[in-house]
Amino acid sequence: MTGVTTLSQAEKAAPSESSFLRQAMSRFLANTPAVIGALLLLAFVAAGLLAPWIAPYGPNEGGLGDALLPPSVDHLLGTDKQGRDQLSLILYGGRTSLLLAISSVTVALLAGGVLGAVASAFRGTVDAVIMRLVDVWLAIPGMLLALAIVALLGTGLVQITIAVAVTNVPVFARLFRTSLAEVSRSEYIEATRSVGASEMRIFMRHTLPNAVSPLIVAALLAMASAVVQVAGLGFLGLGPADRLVPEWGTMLTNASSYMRVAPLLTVVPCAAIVITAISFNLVGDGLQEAFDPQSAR
Amino acid sequence: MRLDTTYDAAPLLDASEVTVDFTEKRGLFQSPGTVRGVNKASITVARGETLGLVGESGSGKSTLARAIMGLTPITSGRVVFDGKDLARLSNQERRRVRRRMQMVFQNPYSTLDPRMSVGETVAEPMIVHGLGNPKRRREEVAELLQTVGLNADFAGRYPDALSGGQRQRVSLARALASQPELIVADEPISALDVSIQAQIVNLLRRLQRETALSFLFITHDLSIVQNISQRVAVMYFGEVVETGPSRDVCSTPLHPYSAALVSAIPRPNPALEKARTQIVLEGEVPSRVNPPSGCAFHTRCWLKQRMPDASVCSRVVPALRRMGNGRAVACHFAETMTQASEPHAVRAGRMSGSEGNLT
Repeated sequence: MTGVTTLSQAEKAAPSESSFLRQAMSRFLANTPAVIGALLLLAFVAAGLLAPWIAPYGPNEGGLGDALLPPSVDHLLGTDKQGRDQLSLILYGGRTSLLLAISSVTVALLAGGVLGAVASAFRGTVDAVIMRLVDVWLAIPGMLLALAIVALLGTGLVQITIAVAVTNVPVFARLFRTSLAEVSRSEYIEATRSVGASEMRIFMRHTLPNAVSPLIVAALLAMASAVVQVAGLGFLGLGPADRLVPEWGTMLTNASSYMRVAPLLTVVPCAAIVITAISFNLVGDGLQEAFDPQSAR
Repeated sequence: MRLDTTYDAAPLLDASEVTVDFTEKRGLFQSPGTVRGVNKASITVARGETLGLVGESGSGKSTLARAIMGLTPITSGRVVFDGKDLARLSNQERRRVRRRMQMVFQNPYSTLDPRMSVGETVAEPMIVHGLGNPKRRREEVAELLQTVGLNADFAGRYPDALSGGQRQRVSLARALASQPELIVADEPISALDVSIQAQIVNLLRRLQRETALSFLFITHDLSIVQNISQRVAVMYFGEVVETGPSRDVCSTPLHPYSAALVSAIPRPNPALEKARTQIVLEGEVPSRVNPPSGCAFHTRCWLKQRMPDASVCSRVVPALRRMGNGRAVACHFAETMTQASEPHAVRAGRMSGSEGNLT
């Protein structure tokens, strides 16, 4: 543009036509660490899904004759004490670890979300009771609670999901209640009410869309800790009861006695756990900044 | 009983003796206390009229506006819109009346849903009240945006891409969307830059000229009221202390508090500005928890200090009484004010130059 732009011209400048989500998306894509995290996660998920086709061996193939082999062309990451191919185990194990992390956080998100919504909808006694319950709940160390639940219920996949979910419910309940309260106090909700919109419409069209984004971010961050938690349970011998279902934490336990002879057996599952957890964190942080650009600055 | 209207026809909005109490939680084992936000305030707005509601921060003017809009429950009193007592309507009827009275809020940065485009925001009142179809609404949004001085292509923008002035224009477009008869504007310009304030005031004046809209214009700035409203109501400590035609109230205030407000307006004429003596109120707005006895203003009143026997001020609550010419005032000694030929001849107990401020 040439010449002087007057104030009114500047005020009337052509607007950018893109939806909120599209803007958030472009902010996310401009965030390199977040994109790297997302790609790594996608790679792990794809690897898990495609394990039967891309893994060189089945998860339980191999004999004791092949035990503790060093990396070679046949076994890129070597074999474990039972002669199973380490690479295949990592790929299949990712299925279990990711599935447990994602499903437990989803369950926690739904349950916590409902609790938080109920607390914020019924102010007063109901709210106070729920929130004090949540306080107590949060005060119990998560790992301890998960251990107790698994000890009580057993170590099936569903039971482990429940155990990890239970430790995350209070986090989501508190967060969603706060977020709902904050949004429903905001002036644009009041403005919508003064327009004459019904409470239902206000909740569905204004309160909810504005209140869920911190929840989504928190869910991603919770998945990071859930991956570690699931692995932790596995390491303590409370992994999936079916010993034929490979899982990263269980792999670590199995490898721990061979750390000197075959360090790779420890390093690889460790790396898988850490990389997944960090990726979830990166994506979570990226979403946070994408949803709420002011917070990043 | 209406004291403050000069109009024969029934007013569009008639809020009478509105009281709003807030309950305040004191602790787990204490009973909640109540704090009076608005105390028996009565105002009316005639069709096509703009009433300026003036008062310092905390005087209850915003609370009164919110009570009128039904955003804050009223403890006692009535809000009658076009002959309908809003408290007696069913929810559905009330929402139908809402279409006819809309509000513009003070802070343009928090009154627009960040997740909604300008077009969606402006169209919402039409959707809520079932006006038009999607195509018609799109056209209507474009027209409304033009009315408030924005390009039609703003419809696709999101609030975070707009300046304060632009956002306030969008708020106004939203308020206009349901074709209301009354717009309650709660300090619509005080959060804006001074240069933008003038633009918005001009926009409001144009709307006054070109439409039959009534406005309840809330502000703490009496100088704007002179410009924009035919009548003014002055609030202090939750009560309406004076009402009347803007010109009269600004030239010869009848309430000592109004006089203090008027004396704070800078004069554009340097000679007048030099002659202006500002009444500086002593003390602070009284505590809501322990309201003063009698006249709420007596703790700070400069007129009371000059009266030989002013014990009535701390004993008796002055009623809003008719003073002729459509004026009404709540002061025991309002007659003393009329005796003064011009307001600035009334010498306050303590005066200072042009520095010092009311609020």
